[in-house]
Amino acid sequence: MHTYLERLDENRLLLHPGAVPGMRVPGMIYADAYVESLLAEENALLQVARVATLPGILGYSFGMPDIHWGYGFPIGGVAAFDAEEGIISPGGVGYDISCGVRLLASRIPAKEGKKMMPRLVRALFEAVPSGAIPGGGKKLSLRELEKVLQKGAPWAVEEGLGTPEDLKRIEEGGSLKGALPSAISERAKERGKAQLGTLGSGNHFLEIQEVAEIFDSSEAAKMGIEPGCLTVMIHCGSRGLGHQICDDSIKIMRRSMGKWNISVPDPQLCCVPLQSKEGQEYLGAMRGAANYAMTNRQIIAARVRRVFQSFFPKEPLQTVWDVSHNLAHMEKHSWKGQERTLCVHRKGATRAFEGEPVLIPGSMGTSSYVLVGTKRAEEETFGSTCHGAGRSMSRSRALKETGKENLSGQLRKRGIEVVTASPRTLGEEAPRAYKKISSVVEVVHRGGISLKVARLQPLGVMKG
Amino acid sequence: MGWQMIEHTADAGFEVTADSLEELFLQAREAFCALCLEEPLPEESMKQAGSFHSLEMEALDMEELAVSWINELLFLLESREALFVPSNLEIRRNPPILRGEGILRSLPGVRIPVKAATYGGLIFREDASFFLRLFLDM
Repeated sequence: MHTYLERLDENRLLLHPGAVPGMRVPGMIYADAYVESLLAEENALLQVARVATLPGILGYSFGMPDIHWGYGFPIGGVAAFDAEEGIISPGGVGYDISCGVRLLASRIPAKEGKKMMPRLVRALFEAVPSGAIPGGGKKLSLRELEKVLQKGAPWAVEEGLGTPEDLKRIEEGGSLKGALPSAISERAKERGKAQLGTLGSGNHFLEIQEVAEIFDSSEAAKMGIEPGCLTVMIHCGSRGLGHQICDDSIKIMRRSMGKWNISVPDPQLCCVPLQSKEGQEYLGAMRGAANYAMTNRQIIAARVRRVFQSFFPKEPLQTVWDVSHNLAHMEKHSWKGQERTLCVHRKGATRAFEGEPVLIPGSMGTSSYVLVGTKRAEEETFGSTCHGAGRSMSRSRALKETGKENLSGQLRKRGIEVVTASPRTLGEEAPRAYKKISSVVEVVHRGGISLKVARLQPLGVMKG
Repeated sequence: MGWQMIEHTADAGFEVTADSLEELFLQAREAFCALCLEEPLPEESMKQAGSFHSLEMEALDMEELAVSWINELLFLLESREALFVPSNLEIRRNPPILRGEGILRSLPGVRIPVKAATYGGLIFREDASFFLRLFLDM
């Protein structure tokens, strides 16, 4: 596989067709020497090559610098398909549909926040249901759930959980049009009814941060990010509802692919023509899950605000941006001089349209970044960039290596308060299990597909 | 014969080898429990009474049956806060069907780190014995 790789410049690698049989386009991986050295250990390159075999793919099968081994698509994978002739694949979105990040900013000086950090993190832990505990969330009737699936975050605002100003700072206004609740199974709905407003487990988190560095003061000011002040980052998705939609859709597509003589090198890459009944139903169900995920983050933000109000009554938390990093969007892009509607799959990748904020969470204990999308991203990557640090070590190896280390004690010494209901999660999510976030961000910044605006230093972390 | 965890950069997986299909699926359940439950359940607690539960599932192939089995266990954990403890499991290959009876052992407040069983890297093989490799999205 590596013999098909060619370094184009310090930030990009080209994967030539031929790496696997049937590649319709080359692969393009945004990687410096550090990221390339980590690629050697795993299957992510093979996954980039396999995505390039899918019908209707345009341009390249992309890998962002946080690329690692996923299911079907690699994590950090991007692929665009023609709306008329291309396909849609649940493996290009993932199980946690519309998993994403919301950033809230304040004018609270971090030095004031640091004094009360242990109490503040504990209060958040009590206010926001975490882990993958069944229920624990806002209990919904089936009718209410269907409204959430159809409307998205505006439903939460109508319920008094947030303001219309929030909606202006969520991609697509917090509501994807064309959701089809009728295409979502009863089982998915059953899983979704009791989990709204919950964080989930694994790499999902809630983090209090200090704006530690500003790279672009003009963009930071536009976003409401002030140096030395507190921010709050929320990372979660569509919970069991999204997982079930993905599983249901894979079963449907594995049975129906044959109708169009589609064969795929990995069952997780199963797909159908976007314009088929099956394709439209998945698109509609996926949009419903995205609306659920954006509502989930809206409700969690409301809970966070309530906690902050009790500590800092005069300082509101404003939404900076809310963006998904597991989604397929119908978007207009210029392709060979013509405007075309494309279905852009981003799995562990973030939309980076010119002027739009980009939120890149770090691993526990390391910085997160705010960037801004660019024209170059629109021209090169269908408006896409990375989504995080990306793992470089398995969970079991991370657990083995951290062993009996007192991780929360170590982080506390570095001024980071951590609360989790699961010590195992803490070990699995140890900072050393991830790539260096600063290196990942430098690749996309130097490559011009998103530009650094601010660095956020963690002060308090709540792990799901 | 038995199961073992295997490495995955982002998530987790397991491999199972068994002499029969029923044993293969029971061992896969054991591996799933080891990933899901932070502390192993004591043997005695498994014998405690729970509500009767039966299930039946059909699949396109044996690979899908294995994924569906684990996702069914996950669904019961998440929605019923209960672990399915089978007393009888029957598996047929043509067409792939699983039938099971047993109890739902209540596990209130259980934390579930697994999102789903996946088809990525999935292998089902039959030669001298049965073999399954399955990865879970965590």
